[in-house]
Amino acid sequence: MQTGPVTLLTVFLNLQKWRPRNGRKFYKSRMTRLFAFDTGGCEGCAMELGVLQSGIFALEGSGFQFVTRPEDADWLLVTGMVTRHAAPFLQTVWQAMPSGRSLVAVGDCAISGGLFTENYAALEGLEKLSQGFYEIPGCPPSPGLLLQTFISLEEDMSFALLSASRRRRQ
Amino acid sequence: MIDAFLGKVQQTGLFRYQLDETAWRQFLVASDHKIPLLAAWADEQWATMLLLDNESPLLLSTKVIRRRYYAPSSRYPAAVWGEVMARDLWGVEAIAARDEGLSLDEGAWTLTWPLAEGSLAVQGDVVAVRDEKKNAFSVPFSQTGVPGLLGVQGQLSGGKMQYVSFHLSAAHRGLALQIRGKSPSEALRIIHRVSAGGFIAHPLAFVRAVEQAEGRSLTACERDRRFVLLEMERISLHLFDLGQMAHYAGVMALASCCAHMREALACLYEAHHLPRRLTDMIGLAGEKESRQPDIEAAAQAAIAFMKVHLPQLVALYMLFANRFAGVARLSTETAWRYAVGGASGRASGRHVDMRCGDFRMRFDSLRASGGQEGCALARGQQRLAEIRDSVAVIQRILEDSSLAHEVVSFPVTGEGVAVAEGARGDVWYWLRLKEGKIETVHLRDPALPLLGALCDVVKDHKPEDLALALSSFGLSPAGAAF
Repeated sequence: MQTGPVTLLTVFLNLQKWRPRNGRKFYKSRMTRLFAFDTGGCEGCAMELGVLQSGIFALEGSGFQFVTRPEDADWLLVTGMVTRHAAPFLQTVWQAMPSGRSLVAVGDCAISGGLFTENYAALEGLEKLSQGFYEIPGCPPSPGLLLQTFISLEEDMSFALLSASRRRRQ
Repeated sequence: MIDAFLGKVQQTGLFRYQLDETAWRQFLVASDHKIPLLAAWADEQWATMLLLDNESPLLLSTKVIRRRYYAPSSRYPAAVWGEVMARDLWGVEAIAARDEGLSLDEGAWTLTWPLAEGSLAVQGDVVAVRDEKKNAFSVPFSQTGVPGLLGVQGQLSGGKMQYVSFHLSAAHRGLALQIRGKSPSEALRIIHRVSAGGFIAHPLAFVRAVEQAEGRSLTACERDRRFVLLEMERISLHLFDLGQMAHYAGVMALASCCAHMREALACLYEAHHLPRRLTDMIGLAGEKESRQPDIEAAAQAAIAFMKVHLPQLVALYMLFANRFAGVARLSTETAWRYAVGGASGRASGRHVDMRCGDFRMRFDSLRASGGQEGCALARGQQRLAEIRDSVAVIQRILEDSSLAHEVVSFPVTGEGVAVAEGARGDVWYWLRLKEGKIETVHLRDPALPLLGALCDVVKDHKPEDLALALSSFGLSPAGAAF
């Protein structure tokens, strides 16, 4: 256990010590840009995405960055079950994104509604709204798991693109 | 005044009194703000006010006649959201209500008055509740500084916000309908996910209400375990709220420090076989806690960690104090008028902490006295002081966990009202059981009074400062919208 006086130097040394260093080496021309959109849940998954942006995980070191406008995003990260009121906003956000976009459901509610069932105010998850999306299950998934899955998803997407490109050449 | 008044009306529950229409109106005309209103709600049968009388709940109900009742908001502005919800969910109208132009149903629902007996199927589009006047503005959901779906609209004058209204319609999930008719154990699974701002506080208030309604008693061990969990959650959420506030103030060193500490605690809990965010940890008396992992070791590890790192966090916070000074000042008068709770209320001079009513809480371990300044700086300092207090409370409970088994028992009334003092304020549940199933449930999330108070607070702020202002309150729409 640490002892001794608390100095600002100690605090900043700790911050330096906590800096993430386990980012993977990525070989791509630019970052994958992420836009997070909560569609009506307990906010647990949205809070975990917030932790991912706090600088304690090697997000940018792994080739990802959050953006504040859907027009700038490559991936749309959806958290929470989809309320009927939020559904048109989700559609607007999705349409504002440039081509080559991907949809990722973060957490059980975004995937299938989780514990919640369809009712007058809420649909369930993206399962009911979209046929093509990636899933990160959990209730809520931890920030570490989120980052690992982002990396795996990107590798899967790159592999799929590469395979398609090869098939076209053949 | 209140004792004399209650002597004339009929008591129908442990804390509930039934008033006829005349007495209800007389109370609203004569009441002063010494008995603050915490929440108001109504269904097809009853309109109810939840008041705080000397740290004890007081429920006043009157019959809803021909879908009408006299509006509590005519006296108490904090009642506005309850009346809006009653109108949109149950189809009952409050006469002489304050018209704030708010709505929960903005046309996206498939039913009109969905909780009422005669709910109607509808088809329609979302009604855009937008101010079409000149200089009207609307903040995108992703730029409010709040994790969930909070609608913010208003009008600008000279680049500053002059009129602001907050909307919950997008966040409403219809959970009351899903809970109705379920057994308390089944409903508890859903209550555990009402709000991430109360993974412990919400289910704790709910199970306390159920236990009161069913006359269940609690062992000393179960009671202390709940206290410890509530304090563990308080530490984690205060760290999150401090971190969010620092993030939107551009103080990334402080934001990182808070996030690191919160993650370190989550990892400690995980290492002791607890859920990272303490989800699904609360059970009904005698039903679940006995099967749960031992939380003592996790709590010991958490307080050991916090004792080392909290002084560092305080030092870092004070270094950047001027970034938060004077931001989003909540006056003492407004805090009392809306009964704003939690660290936000206490930093504004409303020194109310519902833990003082918890039997055997070790309230004497608490040192944070609150303040009067009411700005973001004061809220941050209050959170840091409450983290220190939570560490002290946990330590105290772990040290004298051998207290004799004492039971507080209630008569079986089929009705319960209970509170848990969460990190963001007091969470209240009122419910009625019928044949072992939930017949009606109403909740008061601490975000509801804040929404009313914040209209005054953010006035004269620039729209780009809104995220910092809202994040400094730890606002979360999930529980309020239910």
